[in-house]
Amino acid sequence: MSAVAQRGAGRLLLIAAALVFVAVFLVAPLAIVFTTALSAGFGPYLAAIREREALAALQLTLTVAAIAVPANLVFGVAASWAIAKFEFPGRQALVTFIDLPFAVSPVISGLVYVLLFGAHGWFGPWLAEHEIRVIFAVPGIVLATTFVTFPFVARELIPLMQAQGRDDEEAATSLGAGGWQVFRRVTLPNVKWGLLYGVILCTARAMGEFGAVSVVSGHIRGKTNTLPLHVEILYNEYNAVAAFAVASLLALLALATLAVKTWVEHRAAADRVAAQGARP
Amino acid sequence: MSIEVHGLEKRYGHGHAAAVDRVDLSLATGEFAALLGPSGCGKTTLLRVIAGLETPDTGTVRIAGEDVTDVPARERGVGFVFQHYALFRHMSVAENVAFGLRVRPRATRPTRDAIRERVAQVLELVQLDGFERRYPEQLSGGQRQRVALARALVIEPRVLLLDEPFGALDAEVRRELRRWLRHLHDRLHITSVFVTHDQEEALDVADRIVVLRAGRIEQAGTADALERAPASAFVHRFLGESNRLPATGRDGRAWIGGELALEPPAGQRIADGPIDVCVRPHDFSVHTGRAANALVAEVRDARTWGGRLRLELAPAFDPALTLELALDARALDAAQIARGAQLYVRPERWFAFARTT
Repeated sequence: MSAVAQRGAGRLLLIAAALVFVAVFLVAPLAIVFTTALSAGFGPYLAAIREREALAALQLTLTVAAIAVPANLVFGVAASWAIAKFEFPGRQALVTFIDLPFAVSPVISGLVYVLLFGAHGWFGPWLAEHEIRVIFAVPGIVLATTFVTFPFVARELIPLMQAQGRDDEEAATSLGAGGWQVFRRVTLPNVKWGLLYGVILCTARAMGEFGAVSVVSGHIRGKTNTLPLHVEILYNEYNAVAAFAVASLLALLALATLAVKTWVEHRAAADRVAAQGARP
Repeated sequence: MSIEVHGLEKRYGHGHAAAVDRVDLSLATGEFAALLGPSGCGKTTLLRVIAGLETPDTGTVRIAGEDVTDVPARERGVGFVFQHYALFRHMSVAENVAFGLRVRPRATRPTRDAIRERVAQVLELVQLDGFERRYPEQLSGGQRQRVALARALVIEPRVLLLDEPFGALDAEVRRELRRWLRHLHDRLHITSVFVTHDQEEALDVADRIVVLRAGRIEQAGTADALERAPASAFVHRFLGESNRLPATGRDGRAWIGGELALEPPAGQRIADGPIDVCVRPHDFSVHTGRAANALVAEVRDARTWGGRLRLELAPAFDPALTLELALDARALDAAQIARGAQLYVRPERWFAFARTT
């Protein structure tokens, strides 16, 4: 057998292995979610989704994402701007701390908030006195989700901004632009695709987070249950059809994010190609 | 407008050597100066301090007589051109050039039409009219740098600062563009400073050359003055090819290898002690037969190109040294200069400096 043919065979083998892996570990579970959800027909599927508690969970999930994502967007942009464009004491520490939520188990992240704001936590008595509920309530869920999804935007932007350097900003400054003008007219347009990508990943994670939210939520049906928690409850009650129906909602949200992400990547690539193709 | 820099010092963090070390420099209105030096000599830092992009630890910067040391970069009215152009890639050429006008506060911002007119004027000045709608990626390196220049000029800066403006361009474009910049300067008379590590570029463009070494000004003057009276072996070496011969100063003469004593030219004094004698490759005389008061040297390599005979010689007093000579190819019988041949060479024009390193 010639070397070329051998290499061709090796390549086929690798591709086949990759495809099988994707099919078994990614596609099959997704397919099972939908087939199980629809195993009793459309009626029970729709009923499970339309159920009051499921809708409440959906609403809570979207609300939490709607708070956590913009918060992390603002923080991520501010942090990466500071890290990539300025020198200041504690800069390296900030870079490390941004990664902390990735390094720590989400359950620990949730527990930290219980220890801080729970009934026996540091701020517990003070919060109780002022009748503010954080743990086993929506604020706790928002806090835990924000913490867990903290790094996505910043992680996406820091390398991008560092690679772009400070020249553009310095040029804008020397031309008389103020800090805000520099940011809005120069920095932001330079990172827009990376920023969007980070926001998408952040959104996907914010909607899907289980561990941290599970610890702080208290699992109060219709009140503090997010979609992932609701799925778990239904499943533990042997209500497989309903559990998978709700899970399919989450899967659909994930697929939608994936579609947007693909579109963003496509657009970013098209931008680059257009720019290069136009080169004389 | 004039630029004056006094007692400037800039250090990047404690314990680091000063990037700029007590520098004094004064440029007259309309002057075109080059900051020349090897990488790490502090030339870019000095330029950035003048622009306000770096804050000096001590010292003052004056532009047109006004102390701007504490004036932020955006208010200094300085045009800055970067080595890698720093064009805003999401803006067209016209938008890039208009940027400096558009970001002005409403009270001083020209009208839309006035901006368009001004942009057209400046683009014509840099010979890029008709390129308004192009994007930076659609331009060649030389065109991009001209857009960057137009963008800097549109705000009518008091001084123009250029950081290795030709550094990212290939040799031919580089030569063309720097001549063009020289002519542009002759028309605009805007006080300009540019940073380069390329002596040819500095000599070709600037009125005045400021040679920097390790954060300090080694010498400043016209190209001619630097060539006639270099202040140090470093300047001599940096402005062109230079052979450095270790020598000893004694009785007012320079002794090389114990066999050759050079009389200094009129007006030069040679101090006693270890010195370096620096000679340009074309400032030697060469004899094929025995000559008095000359160095014996063996030919290691000989090549003729560009009308010159280039020799690589190993002097007998220290064969580890290499002398590089460039002679008029017609002045010698090249056939006699084979590898291994012995020659007698004497520096005819040279400079002696007390040995520093």
